[in-house]
Amino acid sequence: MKVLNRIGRRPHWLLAGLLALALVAVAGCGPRPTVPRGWSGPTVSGGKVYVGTMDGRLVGVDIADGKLFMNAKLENGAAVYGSPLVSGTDVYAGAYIGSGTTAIGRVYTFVSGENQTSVTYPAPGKVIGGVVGNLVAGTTYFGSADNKVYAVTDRLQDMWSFTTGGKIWSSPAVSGGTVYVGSFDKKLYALSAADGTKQWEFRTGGAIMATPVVDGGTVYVGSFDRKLYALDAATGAKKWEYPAESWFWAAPVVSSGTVYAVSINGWLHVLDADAGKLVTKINLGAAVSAPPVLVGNTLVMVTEAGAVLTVDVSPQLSHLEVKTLASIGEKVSAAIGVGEGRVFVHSQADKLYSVDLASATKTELPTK
Amino acid sequence: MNVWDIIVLQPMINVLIALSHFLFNNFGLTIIVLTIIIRAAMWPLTMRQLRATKAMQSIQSEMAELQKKYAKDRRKLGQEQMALYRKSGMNPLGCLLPMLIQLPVWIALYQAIIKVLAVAPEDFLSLSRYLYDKWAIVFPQVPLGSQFLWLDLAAPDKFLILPILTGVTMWVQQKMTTLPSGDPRQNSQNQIMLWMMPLMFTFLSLSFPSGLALYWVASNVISIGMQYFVTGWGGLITPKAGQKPPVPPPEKKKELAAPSAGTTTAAAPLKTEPAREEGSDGKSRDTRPDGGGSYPARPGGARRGPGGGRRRRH
Repeated sequence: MKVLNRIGRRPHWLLAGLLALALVAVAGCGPRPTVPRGWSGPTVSGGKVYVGTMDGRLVGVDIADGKLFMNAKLENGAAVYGSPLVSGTDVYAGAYIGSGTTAIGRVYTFVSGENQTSVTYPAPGKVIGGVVGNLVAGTTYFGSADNKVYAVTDRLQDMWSFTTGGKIWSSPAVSGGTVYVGSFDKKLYALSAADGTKQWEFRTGGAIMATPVVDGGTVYVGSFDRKLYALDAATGAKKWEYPAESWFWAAPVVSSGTVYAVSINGWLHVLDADAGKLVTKINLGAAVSAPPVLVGNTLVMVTEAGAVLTVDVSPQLSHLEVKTLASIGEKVSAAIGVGEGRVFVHSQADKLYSVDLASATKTELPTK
Repeated sequence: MNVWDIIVLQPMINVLIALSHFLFNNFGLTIIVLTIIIRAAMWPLTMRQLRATKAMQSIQSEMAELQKKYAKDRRKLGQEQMALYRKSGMNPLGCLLPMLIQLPVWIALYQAIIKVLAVAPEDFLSLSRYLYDKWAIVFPQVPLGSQFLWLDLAAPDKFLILPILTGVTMWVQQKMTTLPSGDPRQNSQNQIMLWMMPLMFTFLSLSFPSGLALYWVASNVISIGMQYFVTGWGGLITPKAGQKPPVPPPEKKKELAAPSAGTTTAAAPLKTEPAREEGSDGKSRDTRPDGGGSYPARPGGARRGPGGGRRRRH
């Protein structure tokens, strides 16, 4: 208080303080980091790669000739956050239309290569929340910002829905007739894939953004309480939990009794799948929000700084080495797609790149 | 993160989340408590502002005289006005400081609301970078719940109640500080400010998240309370016809010796009119015939020491 009074008595100090305050305020009002325009992960199927855009388009590129063969406009105000789902010749995309809490959602289906939607969900007159996560095949399952998980037929007809206590921004996982889905209400739900009845729920300490992974009767899911959980897939009983330093935003990879999980602060945690014991952890050098993908014995990851990293997991796990396959040169938040011997990266600048896993050759693909 | 993020936004986000943890995960309550904390931290400055406002009103007549006297010499007018400010012991910038300090708070609160309420994935994703590693409670706490009473704190109030409350409370607060002046031009400016600010903030509340509007309403209500205890209802209560307007407290009624040409008024003696006399009950009473200008302090409100006006600064 004395200091404030002293400052008030000396106008030049007051002016200097006001000037400093103004500078800070200008910094706050000044240009914020560019809003990411590439959130949808690429999906590779049948020699083609599909990706959604934040300006509401579903794009298809032929991998062989690198040409755009599909550029379908969903609708004005729509943004695609999740990766498209490809089933036969049908391509599905979930959209988040509008902004903030008034946003609604819609799911579209297209015939590959055609730019006119054939069916949308929900039917006219019905509204669902924005769709952020991926659509999951078979019966199509997806979560929504209206707290619900939906199951619809391949022609987008209603089957069932289940309401959780929070938004669902993650993608469901389906295994053995059960749909596993995490919610912002901090719970992981196991639902009957047939009718949506709840089989069990497990409460973590934080919201769940990461997609669960099911492997060998165990569900692995990361939470915002900075822990990775292993749960019995049949009962939801906790097998183990592993504490990290930051959120688990991305789904882990489980293979040959080992869990590879990245926390959002850019650490790769390699764990024993049975006991959750840490084998090793590696600093990836930058934040990571995209889930890793295992291609043979190579774990492929992309950092938010745009580095495409590979880790050969065949040697002794405690001596893993991270290699930089390529640098995109742009920030990346979206999941990566892998296929045809390449890694596909959708950058925040809304550009689509392919990186050859063998030669590390980087190619930009058209999205417009 | 830039300097803004480190010194303003990051603390704001972490404090909001931690407060929410201790306030039953109620983000609306968190915003109200944050408002109280910020206003409490600004208490010394706010008091200066209130006193400066009162002092400013008390010298309006002298100011009008100066404007009349030096109407054709703007430079001299400026000098004399500054001298008058100095003599009355006030700093004109003191009125602006609390409002200016709140400007970055508004900006930071707006940005924090967007991030912690998980309005869109792109804002939410970056939130993890802003959380303090050592504050274990903040990580599992987000996203915060956006429901408070009828409000979705991440969106404008669709029932328009909060924008109206923002405008009304701001108008009341402005009205309390707006006092009649002898200068018609000043009166006209006062009227513009009285309506412009509330209308502007009502308009902003229609498009900004209601969490920010809630902060404005809470802040206005606190200001009204503080103002009441320092100056009473001020300009809010208009004197009835034939009734003299309330009179200012004695320390405001400083009559300055007319500045003579070629002399700096800062050196001129300050003449204080004996505005009050002790009543038989020991309470002071106003004896001035003219009144006007300002309003008496509330009993128990901020008072100055015996001897009248503010101590002059040297």
